[in-house]
Amino acid sequence: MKLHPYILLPFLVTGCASQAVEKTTNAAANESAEKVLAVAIATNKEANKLGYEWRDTGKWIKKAQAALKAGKEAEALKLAKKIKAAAKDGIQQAADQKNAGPLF
Amino acid sequence: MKTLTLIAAGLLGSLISTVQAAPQDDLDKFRAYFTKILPSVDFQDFGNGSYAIDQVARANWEAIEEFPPYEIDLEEGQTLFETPFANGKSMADCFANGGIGIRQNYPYFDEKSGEVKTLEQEINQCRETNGEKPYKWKKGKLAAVSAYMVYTSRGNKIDIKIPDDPRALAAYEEGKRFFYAKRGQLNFSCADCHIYSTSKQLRSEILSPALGQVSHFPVYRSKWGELGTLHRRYTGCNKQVRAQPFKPQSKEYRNLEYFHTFMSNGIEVNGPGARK
Repeated sequence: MKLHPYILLPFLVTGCASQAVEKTTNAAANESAEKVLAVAIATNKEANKLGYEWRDTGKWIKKAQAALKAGKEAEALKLAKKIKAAAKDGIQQAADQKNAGPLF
Repeated sequence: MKTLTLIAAGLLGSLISTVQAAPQDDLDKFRAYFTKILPSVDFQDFGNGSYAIDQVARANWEAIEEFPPYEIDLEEGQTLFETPFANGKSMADCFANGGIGIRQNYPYFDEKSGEVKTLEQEINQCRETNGEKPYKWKKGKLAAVSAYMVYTSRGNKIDIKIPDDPRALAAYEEGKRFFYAKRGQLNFSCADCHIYSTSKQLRSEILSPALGQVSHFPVYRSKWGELGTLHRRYTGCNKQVRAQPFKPQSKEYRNLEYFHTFMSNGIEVNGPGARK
């Protein structure tokens, strides 16, 4: 069966549009993941400076950077948020433990 | 004016004496805590860690000590200690009493550098001063030489001094804070395991008391399958609570060792030891 080009047109337009949306979403996520990761790395450095960096944040940073490089934006963003939260907790820990001493 | 100066001097004097009394006060409370929670453990037996608490583990450990797994390292350590450097000098030239029987005085506060110095640090310093390459910090030759020096000190009572110097006290306080501070993802301090949970079971292990812990380092750990230094153990502990460890012989770990060892004053050196 031969399809008339006018029948195909809406599908073609929708297809192109969805591809464009996907590209835009990826670009936005990419930018966002990159930005969040940069903040996460800086926050982690601060935790390190205070002597309260957590063991696995360095490993997670490497994973996030690799994910970003591989174009896995969502994965990179998820990891970046995890790193940022852990680094913030480390900084909070440093403040909480400033006057640590015996409980007896 | 003269009266004012005298009052100021008096106040300063009382402040210094209060500050110097603090470590001794800490030590008294620390010791009292352990003797209260473990009344049946003889004071010197605290140097044997969890083997002072669990009799079955003790029997196994005593059997291991009949043919100590660190024996070969001790022999290697002695050889390394006695072998002259290329310049003809030897390790003995760097230490008081030729390096024999001096472990109980380490770590100490060095007035010249204003920092805490450890035995391992001085072993490597000795090598470098004499034109030799330093050893790696956590195990191997450094642990072997240290083990030999510790072995020659067996039976000597740990005798760490906190001199009348604000820098020494600051180092002690930093070490103390490190010991009691929770860190890592698991939010655990050294004290959480080795003070408040002493003698409790963590999986198949009994948590050893902090009192006396330093007396048997370097130790041969079955887990490592070799000898390791105290700072190697600190690194491992920090990793276990998911904290980023510090480098061996870092200021943080040296200050921690200063506090940790001072708390064991009076316990006999009994290293090197064998542990699981």
